[in-house]
Amino acid sequence: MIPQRIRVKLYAEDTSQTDVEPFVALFHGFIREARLPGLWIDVVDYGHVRRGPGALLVGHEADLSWDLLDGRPGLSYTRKRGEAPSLEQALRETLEHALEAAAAVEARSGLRLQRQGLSVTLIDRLRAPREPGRIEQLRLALGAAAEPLLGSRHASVDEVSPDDVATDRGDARAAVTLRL
Amino acid sequence: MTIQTWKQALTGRIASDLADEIDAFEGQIELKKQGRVGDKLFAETRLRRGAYGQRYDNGLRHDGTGQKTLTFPSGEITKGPGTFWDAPGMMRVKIPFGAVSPEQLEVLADLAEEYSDDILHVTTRQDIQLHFVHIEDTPDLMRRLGAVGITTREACGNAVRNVSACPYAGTCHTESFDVTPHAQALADFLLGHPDTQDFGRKFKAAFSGCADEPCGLTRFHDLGLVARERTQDGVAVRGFLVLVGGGLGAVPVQAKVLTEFCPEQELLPTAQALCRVFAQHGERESRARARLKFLVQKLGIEALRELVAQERSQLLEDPRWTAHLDAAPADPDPRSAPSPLAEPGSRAERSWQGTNVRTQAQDGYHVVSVSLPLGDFTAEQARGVADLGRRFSHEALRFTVEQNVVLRWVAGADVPALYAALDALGLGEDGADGLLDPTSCPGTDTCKLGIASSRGLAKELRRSLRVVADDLDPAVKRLRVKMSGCFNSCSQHHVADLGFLGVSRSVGGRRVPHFNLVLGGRYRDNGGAYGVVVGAVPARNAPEAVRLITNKYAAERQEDESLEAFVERLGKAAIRTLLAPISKPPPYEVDPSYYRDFGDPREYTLGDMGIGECAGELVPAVEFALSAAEQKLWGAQDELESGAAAGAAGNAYQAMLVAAAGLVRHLGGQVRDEPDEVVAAFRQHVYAPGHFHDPFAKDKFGRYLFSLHDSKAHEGASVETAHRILDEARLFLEAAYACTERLLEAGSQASASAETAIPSSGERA
Repeated sequence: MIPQRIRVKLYAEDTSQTDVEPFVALFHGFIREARLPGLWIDVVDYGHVRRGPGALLVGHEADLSWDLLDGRPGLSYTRKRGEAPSLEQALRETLEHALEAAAAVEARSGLRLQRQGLSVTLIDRLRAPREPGRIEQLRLALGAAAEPLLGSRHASVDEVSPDDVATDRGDARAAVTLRL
Repeated sequence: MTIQTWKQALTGRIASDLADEIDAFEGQIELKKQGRVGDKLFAETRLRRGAYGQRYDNGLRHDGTGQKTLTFPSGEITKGPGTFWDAPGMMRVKIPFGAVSPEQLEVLADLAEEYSDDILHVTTRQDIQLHFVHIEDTPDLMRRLGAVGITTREACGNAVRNVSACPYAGTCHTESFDVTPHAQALADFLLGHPDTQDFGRKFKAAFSGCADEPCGLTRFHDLGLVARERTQDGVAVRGFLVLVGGGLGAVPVQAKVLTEFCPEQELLPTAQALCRVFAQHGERESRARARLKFLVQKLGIEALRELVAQERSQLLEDPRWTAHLDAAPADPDPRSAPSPLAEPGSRAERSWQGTNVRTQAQDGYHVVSVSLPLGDFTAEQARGVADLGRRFSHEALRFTVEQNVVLRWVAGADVPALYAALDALGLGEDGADGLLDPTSCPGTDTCKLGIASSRGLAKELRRSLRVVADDLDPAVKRLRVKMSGCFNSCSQHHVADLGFLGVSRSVGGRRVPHFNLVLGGRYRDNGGAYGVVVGAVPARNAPEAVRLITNKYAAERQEDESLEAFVERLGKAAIRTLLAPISKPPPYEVDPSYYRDFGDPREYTLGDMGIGECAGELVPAVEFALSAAEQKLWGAQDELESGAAAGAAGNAYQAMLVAAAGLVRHLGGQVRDEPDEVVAAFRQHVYAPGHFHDPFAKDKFGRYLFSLHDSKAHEGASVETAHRILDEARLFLEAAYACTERLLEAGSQASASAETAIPSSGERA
C-alpha cells in the first residue's frame, strides 16, 4: 500500500536560519505568483511554536513548510494526496516536487539547502507502520526512487531513524523516517 | 487478509453504536458526492460530527492584489451552502472537561500528523481542534478516536457542546467536592439524548467546584453548575447551584439562578427537563436569538423555572440519573509518594514554579500547568506530554480554558525532573494563564468570521512582553488577556482583565484592522462581571495600549486593587484619554504597516483601491456621523457607570439613530433628525436593500434598532436593560462601520437619485 502522506525535508546549510517570518512573506508570494504547480491555499505562521511547523504553506495536494519540527531548520514538502502506480513512483514524485520547491525557495531567499542527508518520513500508520519488513521495503523503494534525482552517491538509504527528535525517549509511535 | 482500511484495522475496538454512526456518516459523504443529499442537510450532518468550515472554503481569497478564485479539483461539489468539497476544514474533537489519557493524547497526535498540519490546538472550551482537514479523511479520523473512547459527535451544530469543568477538580483547595464524576455523567447522558436533538441553537454546560474562583466560568454558560454542600438533619448533602441562560457572544448575558440548590440526584433530570424546555420553547426562526439566554429573557426566569419543574415532573425515571453516584470514586493512583516541592535548579525554573505550579489540596502533590503558546503544540510535543503524564502523574491530563494542559498529582520531588523534560520538549515557558500567556480564538488565521488577526496580536504581545517580563510588576504579570477576532467572543474577552475584539475601520479610503479594548471584566466568581468597550485602537497599537494601561495600573493601583476596580475608580473617560494618542493610524504613505494585519504581509484590504476623488469627498461625511455616534455611545457608557441607566440607554439609542441617519444620507437620502423618520429611512434605504446585512449575522444588527425604536425599552431602563441596549448599540455601530466599508468598496457612494430621495413627511416606508 502506498502511504497517504510522505514528507521530504531538505536541511538548511545555515542552521541559524530559524526565523520563520521571511518565509511567511515568501509563501504568500508563491500563492500570488502561482510559483509552484498545484493548488496553494493559505499561509500559516507557527513561529510561536518551538520545534513547530514554522511557516506553513497549505496546499491541496501538498504542504510546504520552513520548519523546525525535528529541531533543525529546513524546507519540508509533504505530499498529502495523489495517485501513483507504485510506492517507488510516489516517493520519486514527492522528491521531485520537494527539489522543485527547494529551488524556488533558494531562488527567492538566497538560502542554500543541502541535497544530501534528506529525511523522508512516511506519515501513515496504516500503510507504513513501524514494522521491520515494511521498513526494508520502504528502504529499497526510496533508494530506487532517489537515484535518478540525487545520483547514486546521495541515494543510499543509510539510516533508519526510530526517532530523531530530541525527546528523552524512543518513540514507538513516531512515523517512520528514513535518511538519504 | 491484508488490512487495507482503518475500518478493518479497528473492527471490534469501537463501540458498536459509534461505529455504526461513523459508517452512516461515511455513507452520507458518498451520497453527497453523488448529489443525493442537499447542502443544508449535509452541512448540519457534518457539523454535528464536529466537521466545521474554515476560512476560504467558499473558494475566494484575497491574495494581496485582489480577490482570487481557488479552483478546487472537485469542481462544483459542495459540503454545505457555498462551501467547496475540497476546501480544508476544521475538526473539533470533544474532550469532556478537557480530560485525556496519555493513550488518547497519543492518538490525537497521530491524527494531527496524518490529517492536519502537525498541530493540536486547545480551545477555550477544553476541546481539541485540528485544522486543514479534508472532509473525506474525517470518517477514519473519527474511527481512530472512537477506538480510544473519544467522539466528535455534537462537537458543533445545534447540540449540547463539550461539557467543561474546572481543570483542578478533585485537587482544589476551595472546592466543595470533586465535580468530575458529575461532569462525566452529564456529558455521557446528554450525548445523543433524544431530548437534545432538536435545538434551535447550541447549548453549553460548565461545572465549577466553588463559587469564587474563575475556573469553571459557569456564569456565561447555558447551564452553569456550581458545587455546594448543605447540612440536612445533621448530614452533609451534595448538590449544585444551577445557573441558566448565561452567554457571551455578541450580547453577553449573566446567567440567572434556576435553583439555589439542586441535590446531586436531581442534576441529570433537571438538565434533561431544561433541554426539553429549550427544544420546545426556544426560538426556531431567528438563529440570532435562538440561544437559551434569549428564551430566559423572553419568558423571565420565574416562568422558565415553572416550565422546567413541569417537565421534570413528567419525566420517565431513568437509572442513568444516579448510576454515577453509586460508583466507587476513582483512585487517583499517583506515580510517586507525596513529597515537598523541590527547590528549583535555576532562575528560569524558579520563575516557572512561581507561575506554573500550584499546590493541591492533597499535601505533597502539585498541579503543573504546561504553557502552550496560543493553545498550540505539535504532535511530537503531544506525544512527549503524554509520556510525561505516564511518568509523573499517572492520571488523566486536562486541557484548560486558558488553552493550556495540566498534569495533576505530581509529587513535589518530581517537579524539577518534569520541568527539565518539558523544557527539552520546548514547553518550559513560565507565565501560564497570565499576561505572558494570552488566550486567543483562531481569528482570521482560519475562522470564516474573523475580522482581525487575534492570533497575530497574541503572538506580538507574547513576543514584546517576554522581552520585558523580568521588569513587569507581579500584579501585572497575573493579568489575564484574551483576544477575539470578532464580536463573537470565542476567546471569552468579556471576562478578561484586558480583552480585545477585532473590528475594522476605514481610514482615507483604506481598511485598517483595529481592536476594541474591553476593560472591567472579572474572571473571578466564575466570570462574575463583563467588561465594556472603552475604545478602539489600530491593531498595530494594541500592544502599546496594553503597555499604557498596565504601566498606569502598576504605578497608581491601590494595595491589592484589581484592574477591574482600578478601571472603575479611574473611569472610562480617563482610559480613553490615555489611549487617545494611539487611537488613530498614521496615513498610509507614512506607515503602511498599519494597513496590514499582524503576521500577514498582504494589505489588509485592497477593496478600497481605485476609489475616486468623488468617494474621497463622501467618506468623511459618513465617517463624521459614525464618529458622532461613537461619541454618544461613549457618553452612554459614562452615564451607565455613574448609575444613570435610563439616560445611558437613551444615549445609546441616540447613537444608533445618528449612525443610521449618516448611512441614509450617504446613500443620498434626505432625512431630518426625527427618530421615526430616521428609522423609516434607514429601513427603506439601508436595511431593505440589504446594505446593512452582515455576511454572517445577516440582518441581526439592523433589527436591534427597529426593536428598540418600537419597544422604547430605553425609557426607564434598568441597569441590566441598559447594559443590553449598550451592547446592542455597540454592535449596531460596528455594523455601520462595516456597512460603510462595503458601500465604499461597491462604489455605492451617494447617488442622490430620485429613487433614493425620500419624502420628508416622516411616513414609514
